[in-house]
Amino acid sequence: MATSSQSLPVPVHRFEDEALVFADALYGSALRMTRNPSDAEDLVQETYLRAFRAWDRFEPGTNLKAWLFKIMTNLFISGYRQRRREPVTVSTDDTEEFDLYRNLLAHDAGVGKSAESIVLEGLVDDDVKQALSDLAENFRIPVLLADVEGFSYREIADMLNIPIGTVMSRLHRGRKALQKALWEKAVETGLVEGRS
Amino acid sequence: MNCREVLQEISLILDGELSPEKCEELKGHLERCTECFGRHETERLFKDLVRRRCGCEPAPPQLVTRIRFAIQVEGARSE
Repeated sequence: MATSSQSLPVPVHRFEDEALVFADALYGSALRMTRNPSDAEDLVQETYLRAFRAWDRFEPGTNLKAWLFKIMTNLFISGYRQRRREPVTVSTDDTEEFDLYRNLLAHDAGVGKSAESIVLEGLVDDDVKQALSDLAENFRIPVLLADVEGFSYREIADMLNIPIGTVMSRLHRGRKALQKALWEKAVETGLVEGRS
Repeated sequence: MNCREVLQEISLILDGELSPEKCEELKGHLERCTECFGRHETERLFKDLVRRRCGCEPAPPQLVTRIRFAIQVEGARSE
């Protein structure tokens, strides 16, 4: 090991106090990444073990949540994906034209309520989770990190080792694809009348 | 700022990636332009929906117990 071997053993309780508060956030994101509760648990546990082993390399005062997410994202990309042989990229070319705003405008919202609130609020948790899980990985992870976890473009670029411009374009396309999928869900469940 | 420029920056303002000066400029436009305001509102509600519906997944208690145990074992091993 390159780090100083004289350093005191990492106090377990300090790591637990500081890092375990992010277990819910990590697990929720692991579920969206792996799409499977058992794999999600394994991924989160492995993330914490790796983080604990690297704890002396964490700089106090920097963003611990972002550091843990970087470890988890890298573990997922390097390990879990390869094991599952999931396609890395799936084209979302046909979503580029989708316009949620126009679709909502065309939908008669009735009196007193906006179309946005009727359509968006009518979708249940599982619809949204499923639609996000169904996105191709290269779009799913940036949307997850930005919209669910609230990380900045810089942090996401750092986690995924891609340029900020790529983060922005994947977010744009990922959100469009998600909006299209949720609109189709709204049509399917009768929240809006289907029109093409 | 014209509508085209505003549309490109709606995501940036919602993601907190715009400078305060740019934010003010953009907000000024949104107050005057119904279409850009509507698009901003749609994107805002959509982003909020994803956060609320996907962000509430507590880790199973047995997972947290397992992690604590694994860390304690690891901590004891490194001593």
